Amino acid sequence: MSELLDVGQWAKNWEAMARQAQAAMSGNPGMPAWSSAPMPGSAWMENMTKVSPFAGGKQQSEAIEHLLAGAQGYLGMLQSLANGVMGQGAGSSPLADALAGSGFAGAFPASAMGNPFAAAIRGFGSQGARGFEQMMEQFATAAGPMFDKAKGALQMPAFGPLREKQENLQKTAQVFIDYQEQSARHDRLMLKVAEQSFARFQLKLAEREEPGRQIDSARGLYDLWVDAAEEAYAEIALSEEFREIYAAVVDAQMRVRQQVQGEIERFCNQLGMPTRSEVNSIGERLQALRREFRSERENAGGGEALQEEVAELRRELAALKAAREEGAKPQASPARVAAGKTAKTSKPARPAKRTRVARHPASGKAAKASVPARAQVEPPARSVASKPAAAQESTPTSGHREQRRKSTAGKAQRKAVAVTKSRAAKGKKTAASGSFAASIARFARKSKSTAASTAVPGPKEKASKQGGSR
Amino acid sequence: MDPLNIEPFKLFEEAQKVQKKIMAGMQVLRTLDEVDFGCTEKEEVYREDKLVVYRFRGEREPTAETPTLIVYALVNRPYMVDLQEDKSLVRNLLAQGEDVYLIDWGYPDLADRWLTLDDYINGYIRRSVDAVAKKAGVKKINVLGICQGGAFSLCFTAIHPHKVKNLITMVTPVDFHTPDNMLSNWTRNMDADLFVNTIGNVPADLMNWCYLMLKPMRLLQQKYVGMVDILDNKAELENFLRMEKWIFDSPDQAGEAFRQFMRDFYQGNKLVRGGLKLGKHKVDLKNITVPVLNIFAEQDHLVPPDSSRALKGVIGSKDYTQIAFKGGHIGIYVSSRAQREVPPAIHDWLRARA
Repeated sequence: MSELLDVGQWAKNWEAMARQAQAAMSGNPGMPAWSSAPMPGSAWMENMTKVSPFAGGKQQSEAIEHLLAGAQGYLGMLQSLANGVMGQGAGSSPLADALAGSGFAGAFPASAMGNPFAAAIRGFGSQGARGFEQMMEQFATAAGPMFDKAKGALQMPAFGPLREKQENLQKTAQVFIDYQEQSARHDRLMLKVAEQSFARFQLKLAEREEPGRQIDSARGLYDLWVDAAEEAYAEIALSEEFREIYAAVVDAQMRVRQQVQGEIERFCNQLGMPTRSEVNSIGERLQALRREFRSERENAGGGEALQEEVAELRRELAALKAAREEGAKPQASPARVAAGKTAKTSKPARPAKRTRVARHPASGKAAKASVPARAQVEPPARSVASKPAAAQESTPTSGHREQRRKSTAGKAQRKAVAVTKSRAAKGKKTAASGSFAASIARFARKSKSTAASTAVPGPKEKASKQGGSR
Repeated sequence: MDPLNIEPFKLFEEAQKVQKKIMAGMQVLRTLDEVDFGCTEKEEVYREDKLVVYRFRGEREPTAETPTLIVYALVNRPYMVDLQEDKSLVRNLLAQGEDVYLIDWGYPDLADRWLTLDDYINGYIRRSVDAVAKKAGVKKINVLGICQGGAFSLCFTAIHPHKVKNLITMVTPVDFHTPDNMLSNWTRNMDADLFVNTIGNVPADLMNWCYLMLKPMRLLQQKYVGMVDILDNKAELENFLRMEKWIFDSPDQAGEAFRQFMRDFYQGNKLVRGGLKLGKHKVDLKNITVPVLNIFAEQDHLVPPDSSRALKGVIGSKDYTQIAFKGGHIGIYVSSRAQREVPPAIHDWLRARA
């Protein structure tokens, strides 16, 4: 962070400039009396130059330093402009000095933008390991020149008992070199951003030559500079060239990391220490087991598909029941039609009854599975009985649905009865599906008699409706 | 004419103003309390691994019969939707009478390294939806997906349409290959397998840095120049720091899920091109026939509006509504305009489909 603005120095410079300004402007009737104004800069400078300037502690000191680090581009520009105005700048024009002071000569302040992606990629170190950037710096200093000279030899085959080790070392050197090359490509592209942003800035300045559009503050100049830099950067960052180089530099770094991790793991293995690969392997297996376990448990508790199937069967059964009711009582009383909503609330009692019936003949895991599934499914007649008959007939879709239900319900019932009869004939204990089929068949046989009771809701059903059936 | 017309006096005035602000900031910074967030009372209704589903409690009982579950992105913390009293999507939805739930994904660690998108979408989200439905006593619920969570919600609704009554997506990427999608451009050629096999879980710092690099000058510099302006204002400074905390308080990304998201969404663009598979489930957005409300931000630099607009042409729903919000990816939750416009729009839309 050596390129960061030195806030203490900035304060000193500012104070010096303010004094000069004060002297220069004194006696000028068009200017306010600077000498009469308090100079907060003195106190500030005093604070800033203290070793421990903040009574609140180190944390707040760091906070303000970070804040000012972010704003350094603007502060640098402000100071350079002021220097120019006061004739202290090194350059011939205030603008040139301002740009230099803000770090614009390099398009972006080096600390933040020298090579931002490389900084980002280097910046995250493995836990407990040295930072990648540090590692690369050490490599570049110590081994870089050696590898540069021996670059051609890295492709040479290795022989003998140590060939694996040598080959591995060659590969390590190769990926390091490759990463450096890709980083250099990336740096060159960032330089291109710098050039283009400067060109854009000039264009934007030219647009401001018109009267009324001139820039009258350092902040205005800074904002214009940011706009130019962002536009130039975005154009390149969205390009095919950037896409290719970005991927290359990231991939190259990953290869370096992987190679180094491999070396560390080999070393750890020799010392009998657990490695990341081993932990990963355990983690992967554990997750697979958890997934399997959960899936089994959900299936055992009534899998989603099973629940849906049961719900569908119950709907069909309800449709069948309704069809039978219509057959038995072709002239249903208006009161019953009107009580459609009430009728649905009487249904929850029946699944529980069927559950008991189904559980009885079944045994084993499958039978257990069927119980909670049924308990969670909505009452069978809800979807049909909840709508008044008139409403069902009013829409063509509901009519079609009803027709389809009737036909499929008939099939389902015939099938269920057939299955039950067949199993009974064989004298076998019914399996889970058989027991459910039997319960459906039994339910279907009883439906005629139970249908009558559903038409008139009891007090319990009314209460359940008021409180919500679920 | 010279483009610069900076009067020396004005320049010194400007510098002095900055100086005063910084001086005042030093005092104000000492008086600031620790940044807090989340203003609405909530109760836990479901928990699994690091995931927690909360139900928010408003000042009055909800009038909506169907609850709404917010599915937030994995890449940031979900308290953005309930940041502070005057910046809370949740609070405003509750005030409108909605019954609001939220999935908090927690902070994945190495134990979560092998979680796949199938685990997230057909596992965590499905079970969260079931838990909310059970709690509310309904069969279907409304799902409100945000950003990456919106993409997950689309997948979920396509696979489990019978569990969703209405779907709302906010700043959700759908077409990942629009020409203005910078993140997509950066990741398109990367070797996703090499990346995840090497680093495992993707560190939050790396993710944050990538987001900052989308607009480096604005987000690394200009923002803090703007902060100097409010250094002497405690309330505004607290708001700034609260947002700052949210930006950098990010979870790591589970490696396997990240690998698949990068490969299938960013590189393969399979959400719109087709061919996306999560576990044993194929994702076909044409299966989404429930009503869909798609809200996106016109100045979104993370999820370009065109990426969200693409939803219209790829779903099967005939009841599709889209709202273009004048603001950015974050402004859609925290700006004062958002507080006025977004929650009522969501509520009205839901009410018409209750």
